Amino acid sequence: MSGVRIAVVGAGIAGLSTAVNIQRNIPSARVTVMADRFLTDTTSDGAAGIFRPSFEKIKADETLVRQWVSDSWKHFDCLWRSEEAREAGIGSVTMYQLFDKEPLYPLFKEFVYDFREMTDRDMKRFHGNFKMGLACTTLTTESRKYLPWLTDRFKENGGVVKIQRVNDFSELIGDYDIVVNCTSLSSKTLAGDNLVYSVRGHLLRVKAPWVKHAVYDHVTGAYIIPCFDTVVLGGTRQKDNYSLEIDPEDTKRIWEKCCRLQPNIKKAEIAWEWVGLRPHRSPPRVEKEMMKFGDKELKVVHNYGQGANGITLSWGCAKHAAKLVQELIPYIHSKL
Amino acid sequence: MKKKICVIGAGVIGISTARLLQETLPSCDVTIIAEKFSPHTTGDVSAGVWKPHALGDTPVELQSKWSGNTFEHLLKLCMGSEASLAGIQLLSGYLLFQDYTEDPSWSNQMLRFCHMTPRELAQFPGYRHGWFIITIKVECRRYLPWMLNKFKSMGGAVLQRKIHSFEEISADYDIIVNCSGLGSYELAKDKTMQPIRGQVIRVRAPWITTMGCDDATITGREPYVFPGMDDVVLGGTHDYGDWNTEPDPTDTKRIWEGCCKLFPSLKHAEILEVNVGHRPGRPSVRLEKEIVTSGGKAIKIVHNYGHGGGGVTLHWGCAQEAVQMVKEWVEPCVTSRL
Repeated sequence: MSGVRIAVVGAGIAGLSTAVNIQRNIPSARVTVMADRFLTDTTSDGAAGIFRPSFEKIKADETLVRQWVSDSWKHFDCLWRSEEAREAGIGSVTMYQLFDKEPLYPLFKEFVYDFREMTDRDMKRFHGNFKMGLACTTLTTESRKYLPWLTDRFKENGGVVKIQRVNDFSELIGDYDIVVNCTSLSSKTLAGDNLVYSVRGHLLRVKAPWVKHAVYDHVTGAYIIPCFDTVVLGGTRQKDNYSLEIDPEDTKRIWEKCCRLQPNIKKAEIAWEWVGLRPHRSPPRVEKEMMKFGDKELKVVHNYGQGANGITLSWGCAKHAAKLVQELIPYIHSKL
Repeated sequence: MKKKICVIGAGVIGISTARLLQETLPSCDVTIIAEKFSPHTTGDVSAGVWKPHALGDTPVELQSKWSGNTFEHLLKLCMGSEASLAGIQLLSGYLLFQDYTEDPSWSNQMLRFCHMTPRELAQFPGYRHGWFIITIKVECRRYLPWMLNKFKSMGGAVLQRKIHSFEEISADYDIIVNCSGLGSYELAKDKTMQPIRGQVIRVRAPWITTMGCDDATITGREPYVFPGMDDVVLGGTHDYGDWNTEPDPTDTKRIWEGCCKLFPSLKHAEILEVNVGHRPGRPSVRLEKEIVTSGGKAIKIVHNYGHGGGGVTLHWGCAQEAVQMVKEWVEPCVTSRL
């Protein structure tokens, strides 16, 4: 078992979380993270990272989803209550969700610190025709702090980071015993998977330190989430849109609907804007595959397709993927 | 003939009273005279959180009326487009207790009041009971200048000067509204007043969005953490009769340690300032008319001082009542009751 060579392809939140989990489960493994995009160039960069998973958005076996969510929550909760919260970019926030009809079962209710129905008086302060509101206190994760934090954990346990673009997994045969695929949308070509597609998100990051609560308007799709030192205003959900260019029409629409929802946003200054392509897949793919390239084989563990819940599910899915990697190890030297 | 009204004091009580006078009695000329202006007033040191506490002998119904009216006023400002300029924000979080504590009389005045869940309490070892509340935080360092600017733009006059006696200015004004806080110890010769010394540490910790406060008020030194727009305020102290204006290093250490226990991630927060303020303590709030005779002349005074730690919580409601009293003098045939 010593010296197993593992390549984690992709250095977004899935890749880094999986790499760290593998190191913890298999201390003797030699883990390399390889990617051509890091940190602020990854998909999770601008995301608010608010923990609010739902069965509507994560269409997979309920038991599995619950396990991913539970493992992730425990991890982020523990970090939040530790001295490392700031360095890791973890914050807690009270979040309000406003609906014009009865919402489907909110899975996160089973984990967050508190969960309540909003009173009429509470709902009145938001502008819109809302029939029902849910309030909870949950966690946010700021990728601009969390990814560097994960990278530090990975490197301090002997992990190696390689700047390398992988055009085909067959390139890695011979140099690595197991490949972990965390390449999100690139899995379309690298894993020949048509089930994964982009759901384009555009958001604004503004300076509004007087906003201490998050709010989701499920009627207009507007949302406001205070993060580390800026407030996220969003958003868009454009299926199969792969453009990373900022569309000023979207900017205007997001700004207007957020200001209508909560007028005290009007005096906020825009700090930066960002477009991210959520890698959506129903279900998210966390599974083993023996990929064949001619007469050669490659042991692969896939971990991608978490879509809008990439940050929320990151640790739970990474833990699962690391377990799958462990299950493959007995088979490494058996093909002689 | 235009009546001339002088408001003494430019803290949260003085400026709000002056603003409301301007709006309610447009026929009068209003002048604010004060020695200290923001950021040197008592309110500027405070975290400015709306949270009633028992104010000695002040009748509960009165406190309730004043605090309730203040909350509604702040709530309107809070959700409007000027909120950030006025320094008003919503704040939610936890009031923590080591033992079960009865719900307070003001519980329904806040936007939200309920008991903490076990999972919420688990974040704070050592506390067995708590309340989750949604209240309002006022940044006086923004609120006071914002109100003062409105006051000036509506024609209000402002003079920077220390007043030693009402007689000094009685010739120039028809009615004096005394909002001098602790200054009334000398100015109104009110020896029932005493300072309640508060020390706070202001830190930069934008990742803290929820407040945490040990609300036991047994020693007066229980820790509290109130995140605001410009900083997070850590406290505190409640030292009766202590006039010391310098930060005490023992207090600083105790506040720091207590607050880091509530939120361990604070250990990495950058300290911005350590401030000391003196709450204007009094057995009860003095909100009443007085006529003082001096050299044969009657000086009409409305007193509005002695709010202790409740200045921000009560200011608008008290200003409304003070203005009503002034109105009774200005328009006696309309409002006087026999």
